[in-house]
Amino acid sequence: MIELRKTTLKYQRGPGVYDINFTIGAGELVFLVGPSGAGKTTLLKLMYADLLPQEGEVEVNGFITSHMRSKSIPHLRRTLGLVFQDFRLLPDRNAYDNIALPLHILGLQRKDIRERTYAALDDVGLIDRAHHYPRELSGGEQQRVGIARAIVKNPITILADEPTGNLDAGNSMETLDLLTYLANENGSTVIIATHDYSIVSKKRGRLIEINEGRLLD
Amino acid sequence: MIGKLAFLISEGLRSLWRARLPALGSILTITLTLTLFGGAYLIFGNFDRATRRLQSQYRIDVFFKPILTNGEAFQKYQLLTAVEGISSTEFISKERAASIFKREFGEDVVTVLGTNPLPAGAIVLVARGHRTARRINRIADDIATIDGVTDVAYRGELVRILERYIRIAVYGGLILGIVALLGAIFLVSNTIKLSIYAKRDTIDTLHLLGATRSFVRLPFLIEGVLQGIIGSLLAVGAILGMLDVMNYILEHFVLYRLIRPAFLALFLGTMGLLLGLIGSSRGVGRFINS
Repeated sequence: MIELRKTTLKYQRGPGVYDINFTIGAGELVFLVGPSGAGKTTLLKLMYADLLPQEGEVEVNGFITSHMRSKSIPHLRRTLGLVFQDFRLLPDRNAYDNIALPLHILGLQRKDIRERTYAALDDVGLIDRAHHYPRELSGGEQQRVGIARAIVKNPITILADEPTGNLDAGNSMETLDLLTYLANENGSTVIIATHDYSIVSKKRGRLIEINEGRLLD
Repeated sequence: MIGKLAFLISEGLRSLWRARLPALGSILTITLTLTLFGGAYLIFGNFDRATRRLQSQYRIDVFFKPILTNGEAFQKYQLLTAVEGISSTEFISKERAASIFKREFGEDVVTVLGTNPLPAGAIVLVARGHRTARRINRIADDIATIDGVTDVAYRGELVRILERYIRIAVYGGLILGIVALLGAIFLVSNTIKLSIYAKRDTIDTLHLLGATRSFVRLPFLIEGVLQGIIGSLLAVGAILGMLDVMNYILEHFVLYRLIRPAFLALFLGTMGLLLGLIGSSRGVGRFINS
């Protein structure tokens, strides 16, 4: 479960987010929509504790970030699967190694890592591209690797920040379908931040709209 | 846990390989540093052995008044045992002195002069803890105060010269070693900083994936330690090579061979490891904490 209670974060320059209140239940699919600069990324960053609220509270999967010690942040993030617009793949590692990384961080056995990584590669249809480096993959393929990396550890919640922002229309729908399908299989809560209303209209999910740092009714 | 450690070690190796050019600079500096320290250690190790071989340099010859008979001289000789810093003594009778004279100069003094004018004497060996020029001087002064002693002879100048050169070599090696040590720490630390800077996006991503600070730091520390270990192995090789060359040169001039001090490899290996660890901790600490 994710709950933001009267959450405010102001930047010294530019808008922040103000007095945000919402609750997202387990297994929900939520679209966080709004134009560029509306505060979507800030809200996601508050959820994965890259930013801490100045006022109010953010509770994610049982962790209240405003009361957390910095040492606990990795434990919160291990319950999350993060997907980024720019994929954030490590360029010196192939698709297999990129996907296996969260499992190494969790300290899993080599055999488990191998099984789960190949399963994730299979899920995103990239089993034959396992040993390709990011530079050898198309944008859509790179994002599929990013999704596999988020899904591989069976996270409680998936946070996706503009996951289709760097993809063409065909790849965007495909990526979104894959992300929502795998999350649903896994029972994960999914929050997708996007400025693209056309994508949202094609999927069934809850809509949270934000503009200039404030939620719209 | 073992799987995680193996992964982090492989990350350290990967990181070292990626930054192999700057790492080479650090490794060579570590090699130079440890070669200087190893050289000083080598001198220390051989100094003790050399001094044992040059024991005659720590010998004091005592001469009693010629008018004293062997019996009277022996009574005075027994007073030597009260002098502090002496390990052993040997009485030299007038007759023994004559036979030594004959052996060294080929002449029988009694036949030549018709009488033995040589005084009785003693050979005094200085105890180990007192084998410095200053202490030997003091022992000689103490012996000279014994009634009946006319002369005290020892090779004080040689002892002093020997001490001086050994001190210069050891202190010089240590001072150069300390300067090089600071340089090596600085270089290792900078190499690690460069490595971290080049991987800042990777570090950010690792943090976002739930990596703890130690998970992120450990590969860099391993990278530094590996630099230290490789540097120390090269230093051990360099010192052993130098030892061979020096022994090759020495055997043409003197019957003396330098020995390899015990634990040389262990000493340098430990120093290399610490050097790498301190250097990388500095780099990692400042960068990743911030």
